[in-house]
Amino acid sequence: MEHSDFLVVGGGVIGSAVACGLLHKKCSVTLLDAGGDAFNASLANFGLVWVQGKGQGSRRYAEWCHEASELFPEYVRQLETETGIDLAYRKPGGLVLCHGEEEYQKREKVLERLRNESRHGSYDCHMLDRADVQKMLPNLTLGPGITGGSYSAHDGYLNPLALLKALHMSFTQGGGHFCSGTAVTNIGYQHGRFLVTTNSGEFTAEKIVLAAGNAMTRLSRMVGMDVQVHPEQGQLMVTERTRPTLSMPISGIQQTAEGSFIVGLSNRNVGFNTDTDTRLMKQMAQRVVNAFPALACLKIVRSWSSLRVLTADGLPIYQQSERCPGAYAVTAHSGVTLAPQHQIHIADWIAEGVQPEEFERFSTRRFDVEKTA
Amino acid sequence: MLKRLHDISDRRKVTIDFEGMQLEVPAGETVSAAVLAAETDYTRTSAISGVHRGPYCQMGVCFECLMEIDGVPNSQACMIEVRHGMTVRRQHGARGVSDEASV
Ligand SMILES: Cc1cc2nc3c(=O)[nH]c(=O)nc-3n(C[C@H](O)[C@H](O)[C@H](O)COP(=O)(O)OP(=O)(O)OC[C@H]3O[C@@H](n4cnc5c(N)ncnc54)[C@H](O)[C@@H]3O)c2cc1C
Ligand code: FES
Repeated sequence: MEHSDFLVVGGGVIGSAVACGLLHKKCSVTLLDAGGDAFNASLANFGLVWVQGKGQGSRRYAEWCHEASELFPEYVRQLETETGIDLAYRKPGGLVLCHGEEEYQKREKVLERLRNESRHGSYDCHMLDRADVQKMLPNLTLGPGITGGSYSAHDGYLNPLALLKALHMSFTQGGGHFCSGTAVTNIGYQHGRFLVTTNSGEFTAEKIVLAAGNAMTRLSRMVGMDVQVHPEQGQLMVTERTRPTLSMPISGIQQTAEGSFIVGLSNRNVGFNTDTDTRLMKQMAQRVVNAFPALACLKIVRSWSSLRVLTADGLPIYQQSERCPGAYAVTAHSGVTLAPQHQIHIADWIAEGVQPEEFERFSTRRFDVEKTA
Repeated sequence: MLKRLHDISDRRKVTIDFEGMQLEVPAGETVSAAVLAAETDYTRTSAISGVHRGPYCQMGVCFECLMEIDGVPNSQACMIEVRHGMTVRRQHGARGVSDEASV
């Protein structure tokens, strides 16, 4: 039986970032990952480090995303230096395009609300008219239906496969023990210690961090927590490669460093289902062609769908178990964007009890308040 | 170099233009087979590293066989049959996307 200071359950982008952070605290850390599912969100996502539009009704979450984007350049630099892996991270800012007048007005309202909710009206994202959007995208002529868009300088993107690979490499190079193909089936708690049963042996630890994506609901109950998440399907399509054409990521369309366009604008509630839907693909492709008619000539070479991990209100859950102190749950909607927050601040909280500002807002107790209200 | 396993002398032939060379090839063959049989050294250059590449899987999955066929860039040569009068060019790096192409 193997013993460590920390066990982290789930080797997706969230669990891996937390595990790397804990390792920097000079703790012994074991990372258990069931693996085997190519459709885990961490392997199948869009790769945006995205701030704009997030956190309506939750100022603290909007700030949390913004802080992540501020941390990102240095975070990537360190990870690349450590591992030699190129994450293809770029931060040119990002755009949301508006098709028609109605979308423009809706978007304007979203930004207005975020600005009103922000401290001192400091929310930093603004609307652009069609001509200004066109100036930002000199290589592609906008379709006639594009009325404008919103721009934030804080948005960026990277290669999400490279990020996950780099996190795993950094973890093992730093002395962490990574057990892939190891699925947790039971978690026991005795005398302040955790006993974890898996399909390949038992593990014990002083503390345990659950970061198992859509398996959180089931696992959290084993340590006296009620962390409810549900899957939401997102579908992506990838085109043939072209010369660099799109100079910044757009919500739903980006061009990778290798030259492929990735398109993904969908969300469906279809349970644990990763089928692709050709009608949906057609709609997504049409929207892209409406935005940029020149892209109609591109062939789609791959498509897949994957499952987001959503909480009831879409905000992260960072929670310690009251029944089994030393057990933590970490889950969020945008695990790529929040990677530095998880590696730095969530690890600080778990290892040293240092809580970021207004941290209570991310605990499951916010749902109790709603229930009793 | 690569050779056809079967005798093609009595097969119907078509002529394609490969980089200015006129190739007489059996009707029904794929562009990649026809070009390989003509002792071609390479059929594209990689969009990332620029190195020379050629067809590999011959069944539509690896995208190594990309060529410009009748003016259409990034065409999979292993999935397209030769046609009389066809023009076939190497694919040099990534294709471009221009606004003119769409109109
Ligand atoms: C189509 C799509 C596009 C997205 N685009 C973006 C984007 O652009 N930017 C962004 O920031 N976010 C994006 N996301 C969200 C992002 O991908 C997720 O927030 C993130 O990947 C979640 O990571 P995770 O580690 O919590 O979950 P997962 O990636 O689901 O990983 C969970 C891990 O836990 C393991 N596990 C499960 N059960 C057990 C068990 N019993 N024992 C051991 N291990 C277990 C699994 O094997 C898996 O490896 C997107 C998601 C989707 C689906
Ligand atoms: S040779 Fe593999 S796709 Fe054509």
